Amino acid sequence: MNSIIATRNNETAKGVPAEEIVVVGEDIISKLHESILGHILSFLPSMEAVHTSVLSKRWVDVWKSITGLQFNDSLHCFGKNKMNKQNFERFVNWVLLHLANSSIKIFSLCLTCYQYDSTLVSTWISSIFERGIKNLHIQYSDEVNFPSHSLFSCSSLVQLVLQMKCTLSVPIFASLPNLKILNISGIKLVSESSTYSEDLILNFPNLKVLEARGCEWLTIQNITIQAPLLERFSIAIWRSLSDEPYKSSITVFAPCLTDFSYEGDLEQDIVLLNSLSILSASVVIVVDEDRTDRMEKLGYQAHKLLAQICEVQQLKLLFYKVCFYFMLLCELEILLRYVE
Amino acid sequence: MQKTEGEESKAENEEVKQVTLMTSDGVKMKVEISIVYEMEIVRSFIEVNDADHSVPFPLPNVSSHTLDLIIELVKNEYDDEFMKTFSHDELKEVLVAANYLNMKTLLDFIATAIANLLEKKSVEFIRNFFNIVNDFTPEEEAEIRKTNEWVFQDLDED
Repeated sequence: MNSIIATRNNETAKGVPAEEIVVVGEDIISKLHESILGHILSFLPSMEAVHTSVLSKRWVDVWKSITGLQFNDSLHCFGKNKMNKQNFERFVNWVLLHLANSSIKIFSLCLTCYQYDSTLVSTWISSIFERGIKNLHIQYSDEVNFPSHSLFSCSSLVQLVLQMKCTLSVPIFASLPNLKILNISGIKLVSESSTYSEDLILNFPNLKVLEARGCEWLTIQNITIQAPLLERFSIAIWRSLSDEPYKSSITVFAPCLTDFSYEGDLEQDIVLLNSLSILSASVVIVVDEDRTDRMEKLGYQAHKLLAQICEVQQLKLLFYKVCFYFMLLCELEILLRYVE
Repeated sequence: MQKTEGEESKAENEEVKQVTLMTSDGVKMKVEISIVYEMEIVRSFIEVNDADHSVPFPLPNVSSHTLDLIIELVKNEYDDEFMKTFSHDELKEVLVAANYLNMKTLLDFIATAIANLLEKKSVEFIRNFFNIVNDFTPEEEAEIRKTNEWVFQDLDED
């Protein structure tokens, strides 16, 4: 956004006479550069941004300077019917074609009404990388091939929200230097390498919020997330259905963490490093009461998880479907005493 | 913030460093340096020239009322509720000023607010908001709508 300063007469800068007040109203907007108007349109659903081309001659091409794209197949125009699938696909292709050489800072794709060809959706997603994308938000309930490599090398990302069924190949080392918010759900995480034997390292030097819900962490290697500025970490994770003998652990190095939330069946280890800063924690443990064979192990795992947050000021602890196994209760009592 | 007509004492300045700005309507306003630093146009000038902060920096395109609004927005960390009290003209004035002053965060904030205001609105509402005169002949407008009919099929007629 370096070019957006509208040209204004700057020569009057010295000794401005009082009567030279900028007139508000009629021509205040007409003096603005197209890119500023495009900037506003970037925050509108793209369909509405394109519609501004009927406003006047000046506005025919203003929408082509947008740097944000928002496609949502459930949006209704003025209370009328939503677009049919064919027109929606045509619209997305048409806009992406027009903006093929522009920088795209925001890309939001919400596909909730129709099923699409997975190659088409992949093409849409792939097309927006390497164009300075900052905010990426994708919501789609069907399988799609995700360009993992482009994602993990996309250093411009600030906010990443992925609510979709896709497989991400995690490289052995990845760094997203500007990422502040990471929110993933429904994602399957696998390892790019089957031979590498050490931890996979994800480096997020500026990450503040990490939320992962219902993701499958299936990497062969353990994962270490380095997030020195992380403030909020929330994970919901179930693995009891999987019969793989080894379940990789997820280690989070987050010395600034203040809020921690866990929901799951304790099958996969969550390791919090340097986590004494946590003030508030919520732990919801959901276990299958039929699997009594696992109870002893569960007690140990619960202890392991809770021991890491024993300095918290506020703890919400919930058990679902659990027979109150003696050992588990003992652990709890001891830990709750710590908390008080 | 304070408005001063005359000389300010140096001792006062030492607590919170301030820069004096002079608005288009000739009002001198002392503004905290942390807020001034969000204004790239002023910041770059101060940094390059290591200027004497008591000499008013002229802002010929920003009125004192607009500057008041901007300072309050920055102070309130861009509070949505406060901005909802703005009139359409005030929104546009702040947009123009944020652009002129090159305040990136404010520009994004105000652009989002205006986009929210325009969302799902009629063509006429948007024309009114931006003071746009429809200079199309009916034939020209029909032509635009027809070229990509499937894009405009749901858009209201004039």
